[in-house]
Amino acid sequence: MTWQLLLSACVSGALYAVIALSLNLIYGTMRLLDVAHGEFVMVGAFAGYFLVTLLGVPPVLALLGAFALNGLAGLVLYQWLFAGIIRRARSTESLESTSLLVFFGLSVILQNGAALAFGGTPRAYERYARIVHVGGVAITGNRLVAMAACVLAVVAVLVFFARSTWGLAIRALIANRDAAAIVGIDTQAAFRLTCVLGFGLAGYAGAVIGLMQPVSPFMGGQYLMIGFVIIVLGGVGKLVGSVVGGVLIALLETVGTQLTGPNYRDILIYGTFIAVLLLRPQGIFGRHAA
Amino acid sequence: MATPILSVESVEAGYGEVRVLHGVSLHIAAGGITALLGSNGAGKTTLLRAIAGLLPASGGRVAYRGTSLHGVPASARVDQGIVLVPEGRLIFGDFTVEENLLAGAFCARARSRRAETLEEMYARFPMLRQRRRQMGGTLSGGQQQILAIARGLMSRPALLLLDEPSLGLAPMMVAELFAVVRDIRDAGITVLIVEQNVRATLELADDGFVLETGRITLRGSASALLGDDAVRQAYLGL
Amino acid sequence: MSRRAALAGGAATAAGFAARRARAQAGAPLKIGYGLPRTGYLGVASPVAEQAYLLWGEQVNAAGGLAIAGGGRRHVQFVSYDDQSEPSKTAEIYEKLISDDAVDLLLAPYGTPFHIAIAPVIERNRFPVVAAATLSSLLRDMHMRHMWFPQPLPDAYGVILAAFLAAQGVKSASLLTLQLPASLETRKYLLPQLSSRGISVALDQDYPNSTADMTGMVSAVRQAHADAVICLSYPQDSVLYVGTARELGITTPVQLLLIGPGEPFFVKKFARADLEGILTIGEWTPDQARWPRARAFNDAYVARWKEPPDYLDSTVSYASCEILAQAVAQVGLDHDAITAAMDSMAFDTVKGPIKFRGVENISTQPGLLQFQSGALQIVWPPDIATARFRPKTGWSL
Ligand SMILES: Nc1ncnc2c1ncn2[C@@H]1O[C@H](COP(=O)(O)OP(=O)(O)OP(=O)(O)O)[C@@H](O)[C@H]1O
Ligand SMILES: [Mg+2]
Repeated sequence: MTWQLLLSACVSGALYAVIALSLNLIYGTMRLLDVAHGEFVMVGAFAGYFLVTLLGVPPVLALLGAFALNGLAGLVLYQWLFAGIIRRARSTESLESTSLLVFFGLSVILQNGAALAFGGTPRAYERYARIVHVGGVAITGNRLVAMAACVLAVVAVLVFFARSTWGLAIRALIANRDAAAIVGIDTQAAFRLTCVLGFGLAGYAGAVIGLMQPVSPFMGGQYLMIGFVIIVLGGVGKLVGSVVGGVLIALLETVGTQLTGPNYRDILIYGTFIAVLLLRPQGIFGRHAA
Repeated sequence: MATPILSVESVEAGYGEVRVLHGVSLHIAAGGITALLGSNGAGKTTLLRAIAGLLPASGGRVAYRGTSLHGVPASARVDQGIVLVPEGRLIFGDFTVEENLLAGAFCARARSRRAETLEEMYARFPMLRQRRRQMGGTLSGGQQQILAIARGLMSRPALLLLDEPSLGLAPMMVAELFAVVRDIRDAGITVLIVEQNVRATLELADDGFVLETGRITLRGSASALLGDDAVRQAYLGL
Repeated sequence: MSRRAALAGGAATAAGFAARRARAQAGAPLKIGYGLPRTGYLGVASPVAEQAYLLWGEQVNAAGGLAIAGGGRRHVQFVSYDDQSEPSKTAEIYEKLISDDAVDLLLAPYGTPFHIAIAPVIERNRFPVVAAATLSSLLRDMHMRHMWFPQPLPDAYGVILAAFLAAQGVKSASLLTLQLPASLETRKYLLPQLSSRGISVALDQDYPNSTADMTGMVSAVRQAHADAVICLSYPQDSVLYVGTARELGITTPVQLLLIGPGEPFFVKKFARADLEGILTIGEWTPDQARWPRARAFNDAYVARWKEPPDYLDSTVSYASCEILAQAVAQVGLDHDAITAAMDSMAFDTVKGPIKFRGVENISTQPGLLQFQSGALQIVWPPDIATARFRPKTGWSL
């Protein structure tokens, strides 16, 4: 039974890690307080749903399709909206408060737009539904596929940021925007790339959710909350922190509630969140600002 | 006279409503070391930031090799060969030494020769090779300054702007640092250096300028400045 | 509300009456108002109700309008607002519908808290409303005089569920209860019924709405080894339960989910073999031959919305329109007359015959539905059943 719980935790943990990574890219790099992130996840979920059910795309490819569509949307939004907001901001604080309002508006538009366009009722499809046995633990195929897809995405993102020139450039921007400009990093181009990756990954995560659960215009809120809890836990701008934080939250949610009771879920998650805020406001992996 | 590598003409700049530079003009010939002197708050850092493109000039003109830099973003200036090693170093504390260096070679011109340049830096600064996997933030002050300079050199600059590199260093480190600056000049890179360590700087430099409250008040060869009474009084405590 | 505002509202209402009379003579459309949660946490659930309203309105207009006692037909025109899933907004909306929009008739909001929220408004205005998508005995116990409940109430489901379990020889049951009103109330009424029938409760676990993983809970269900699993869930966690029960191989022959299986997406999410045998509450299927309107409604709904109706909310919402229409055809638009008609008339709806005593529907027997060969059949109580109960035989591999 323990293994069953741990495997379940891995499935949600991998998903949470992707969502938190994507939110951390947007918030950590550009300081855009993206409270519409859950809605970007939702848009990806619908993209995945329609690619599979209307166009007959294999679900695994639909994940990439959702990434591409959302990434493109992120790019357009950056050029048309975010770049101006970043340019006009006087300070980090004013950028955060302006972007909060903008993203709040975006979330309302996306939610209501989706409800108008697709109707409010949930939609679902069934794929990879066979039960797979992994060392005595039974798990539905779609959850295994979802977990594998998320682990792959996390590894790909971490390798990209550890090894590639652009990954290093974005990390430099996260670490110190001034220093990044001094060494000659093209901030605009790096932000564009961040938007493609961040919003693309949110869409990818949405399509992964669609593999397992019904999708609806209102599904985003819970993932936004989880995302912010995790990036505060793991540290703003700390990509590895988001991955560890995602797994930690999933463990609290499955194993933690098994040890205490289902009603302790929110207490465990938000209790840990508040404890970290009090004891290590910079997050588990964060350093004090130098 | 050949086209100066850098021309600053009546540049005005500041922060918000506060004007710091009130029409600064100076020309720097390619190849030498130029010292920029001035007391605290004179606007030296502000001038370097304006040259590097980190701060917009509200008036006047900055030209590099005869071409105006107006509207050219900081990243593109690095690509053209101007790099700043800032006051306070601004190295990436959470990056390894090697990552810090690689970040310095981001611009397109330097990126393709990144491995080669990295090897040159390691050859020149063996300390960095030894500590290549160490986090930048764990280095000593002097080591961080070397790292900041090496990171600047990774972009293969033609003009290096050094803002108070000796700040906070132990005297032995300072001597080593000045040797490094000389090496850089000998390698053909033009250096504009801001220093509190006036005597050592003027002994090393070819030319010098004195900036006071946003205006150039003195200019001349380094040896002439070293002999100037005003300079001796204000900066050498004689 | 300040007295001035109240007076102003009263004046607006009076003006509304006058305007209404004038329009009636001119044959202007009949205004029917409602508020539903199009956004917020219930936005996902309410479309099945609104689609029923809209379908009904279109059908009435296609037939030349709503028949009104004393002759004539008038087209209906909906005036509706989004309550954003906030009950306090619903109260404001109904207040506004009555005083500002001067609607002729009202349809129900969505969900129990929203019905509760409008109760004071409609009682004060003596405005009759036929309730729809709500599953709560609280409302009945509020002794309202202008609201009626076509849907059987949780206490009634508690009685028949326990009777059904006893009839299947169930000796013990595991209970999982979502902490939302319909689930909690159902549990409250079910527990004494179970004990009076000698059915022990092997596991009694409630869980929050934020639950995203049920592995732990369903493991506990497996260890409890009860004869029945009663999962008092809403759609989202109904999906979670099925996925988890399948992974953990819960082979209990009786497995019931409160809300969800009757919704159109549910059938698409799972293979037929996995749906097979799952129970839920409800007493409507299009296959109930004794209610000829059921099939016609189902087919019209499918044709209009490209998805089947929700067995609970769509049908009761549509039935609430039918009830109101039949009362108006009998007594006209006068609100007191409609209120009196609710007590005396018998209605014929897609859910079968409906008759109210007090606020409660005494005609409709609450029932249980079960997936059999991919469709929901009524399996309990026997006199309205369309099929016999079949024990669930596990899951597909
Ligand atoms: N970011 C800033 N915002 C507002 N004013 C500033 C800012 N940075 C510097 N100043 C002001 O501009 C003036 C010039 O500062 P600057 O840093 O250019 O002087 P400096 O010559 O480099 O001095 P130091 O020798 O102390 O480094 C000072 O009065 C300083 O207070
Ligand atoms: Mg300075």
